[in-house]
Amino acid sequence: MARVVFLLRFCGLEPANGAPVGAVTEMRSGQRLQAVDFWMRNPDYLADALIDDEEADGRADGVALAKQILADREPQLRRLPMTKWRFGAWEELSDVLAPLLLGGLVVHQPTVRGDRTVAEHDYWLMPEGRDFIDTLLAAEPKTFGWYRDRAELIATVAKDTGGSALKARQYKRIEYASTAGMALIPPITDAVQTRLESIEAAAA
Amino acid sequence: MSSFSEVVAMCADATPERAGQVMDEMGIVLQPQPAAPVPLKITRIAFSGTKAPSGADPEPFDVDYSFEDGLTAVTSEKNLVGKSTILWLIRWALTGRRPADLADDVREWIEEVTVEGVVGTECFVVHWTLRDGATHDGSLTTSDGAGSSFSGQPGFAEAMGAFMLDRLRLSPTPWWKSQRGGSAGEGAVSVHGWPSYFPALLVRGDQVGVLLGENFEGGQAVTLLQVFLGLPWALTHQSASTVLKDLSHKQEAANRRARDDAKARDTVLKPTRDRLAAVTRELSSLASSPGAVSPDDADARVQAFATSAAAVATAAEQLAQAQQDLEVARADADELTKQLSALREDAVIVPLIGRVRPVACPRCTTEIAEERRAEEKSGNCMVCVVRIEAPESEAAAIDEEAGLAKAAQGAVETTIAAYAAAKAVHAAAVAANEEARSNVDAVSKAAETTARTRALQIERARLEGRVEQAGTVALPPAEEDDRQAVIACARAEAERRRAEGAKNLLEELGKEIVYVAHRFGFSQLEDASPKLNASLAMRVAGKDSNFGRRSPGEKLRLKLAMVIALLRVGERLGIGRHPGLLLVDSPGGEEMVELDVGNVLKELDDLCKELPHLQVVCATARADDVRALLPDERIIHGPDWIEVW
Repeated sequence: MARVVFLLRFCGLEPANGAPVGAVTEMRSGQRLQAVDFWMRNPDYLADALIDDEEADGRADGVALAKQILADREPQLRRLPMTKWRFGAWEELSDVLAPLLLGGLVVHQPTVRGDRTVAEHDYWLMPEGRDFIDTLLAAEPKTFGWYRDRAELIATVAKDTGGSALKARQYKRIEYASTAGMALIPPITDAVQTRLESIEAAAA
Repeated sequence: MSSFSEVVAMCADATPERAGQVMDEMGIVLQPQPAAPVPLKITRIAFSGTKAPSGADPEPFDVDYSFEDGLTAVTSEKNLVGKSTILWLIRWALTGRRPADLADDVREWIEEVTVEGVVGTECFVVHWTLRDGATHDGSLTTSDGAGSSFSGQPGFAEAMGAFMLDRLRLSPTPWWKSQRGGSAGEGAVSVHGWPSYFPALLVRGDQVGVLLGENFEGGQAVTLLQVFLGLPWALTHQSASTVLKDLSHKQEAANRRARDDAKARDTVLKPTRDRLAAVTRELSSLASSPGAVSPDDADARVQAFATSAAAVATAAEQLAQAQQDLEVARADADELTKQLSALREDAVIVPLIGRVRPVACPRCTTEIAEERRAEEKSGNCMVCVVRIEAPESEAAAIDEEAGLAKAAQGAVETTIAAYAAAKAVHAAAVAANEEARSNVDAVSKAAETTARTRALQIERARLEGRVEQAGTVALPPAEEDDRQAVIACARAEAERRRAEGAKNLLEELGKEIVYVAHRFGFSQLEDASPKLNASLAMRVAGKDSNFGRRSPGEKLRLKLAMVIALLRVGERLGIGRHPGLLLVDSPGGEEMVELDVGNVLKELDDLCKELPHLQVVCATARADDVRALLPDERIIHGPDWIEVW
């Protein structure tokens, strides 16, 4: 639950037109939420993405941050593996979102097609949700501070990219892409470690 | 006066026991004084056969003569008609050996011979038959009842030699027989027995070369002089001299063999020694060449590499185990840490969420009615109207989980330490292995040198073995021992004692020789000095002379004088060993034209009367002289005085 609220808070965008009154952030599409959640649950994939960004001249601290993630053993301590569904990593968030929606911390709006199937789920973090986060941070700054920092970092990688594009980016990693349906997506910690070592060796 | 052994021991710097032992072992005869002389006489000779001269009819003969003490003459006017036969048959009978001088045809005529005699007080009879001129069989019978039969010449000679030596109480004399044509010291020990002594009983007109006996062989005259003069310690001296020569000879021979052997060995070993020197040089140069690795070192390095490689394998295994342990420990710790984090999150979130007031149904988003809100006051959920239990405190669970996580982290730290230690061990093993590898690389680089060194070392060991082997089987030079010193001292002491005993004896003998020689008509002899070496220095008509320079007639007279003098001195001084039988053959032969045989016979006859133990048998062709001097019973002659038989 903490994960989702922090992601909505820091990876959400400015509320657009049509947003509920008072909304703090807007998470347009559940797909984007699943994508940023994947990065939070798999620090090695995030580290890989950070390195990609640095190599693509997108940022200067990608490699250093990736290195720190591995040094802190986050892939081992923070990993929450995700199952690959038909269209990539996905997990049912209804149970997590239920109390948030119930309490009015988050507002949910599905876009329904003509055949009554849902085309898109959109989420807004409401002021009550922002207060909830502040309460968490006040109660356990160390525990919940990590979620805040990590969500902020993921935001720098996800930027305002849409859910499909983020998923497409994550698919570029062969381990992700080659995972069979309904199987857990495997860690790539060793590969990232090797990547970092070869970057260091090249720099030396 | 000290005993002989004591004197020898002192001289040789040995104990008397040791000196005695050496002399005994080496067969040195300690004979201070020879036994008293034993007289020997011939009493009868008989022989028969068939005369078969060429161109004449065979004619049987049967001859039998008796002998008295004193002078007996065997005579015939013609030569070669049997007078010497009598003497040679006596010689044959007494020695058992057929005399070479016995004419071939004559001995082939004879079929049977009997000679009788007396030795000491014992009568003896020698009887033998002949076949083709040689001994066939025969017997020796004595009055004591002892007797033996024999067949062939060896048996005859053995029987007579043993009998005569024993009865005449003579000892065999050892002597050193030099090897003909050999270098100085070459030769062997021989023994003078009865056949060598017999010539002292013989004076031949045709052989006057030596003072005593027949010839020069083996120092015969010297031996005969010493034996028949009966000198004290003479046999001791002779045996010691012989043994000493034998010892020296054997030592020299052993030394020479050792020298020859060493020389031959050196020659054979030279290529081996040369090769050994070359191999040693090359080994030393290889050892000092840069980067050289000795074979032993190379083996050690290869072994070290193998050991270090095994150590690396073991360390790697242990490191892998440590790593696995670490991974397991970390996984445990990580899991606990995750759970702890989750607990901590829940501890904050769950109560917070619990305090959130629902605004709408989460299922259909319909706003919650006011009456439902009132349910909360009754302690029920406003959404599903279920009783809400106060949430349990998570604090205890968190504490427990934190404790577990901490313990797990401690285990991780421990495993990390173990892993670090294993890693260090592995690193050290790898480093050692790398070093061993570089050492082995050096071995590989020096492989050719090392292989060469190894091959040379093997060759050197083989060559050294060969040289050493040659040394162990080499003939050792003769060992120096105390025996030579003892024997040399024995000889010196025996010589001293013999010389002492001979001093007066030789002087007396010289006087007698002059006296007897004068009676034989050698009136110009003024002085005679016989020596122990059987030489005879003399003064003749005011001039120094010696036996060898005198005429045959004078030599004959001197030889006769020598034997007679021996007997007279022996008689007078109670010494001397001559048995008193003298066979004289042809004193007036063709070379003796100047000799007055009649006078010689007269003097022999007179001397026989003076010396009761003397018996002389003289064969001569001067029948007239004999008849003028001797009665008929003292003359053996043929019926016609021309032929004896």
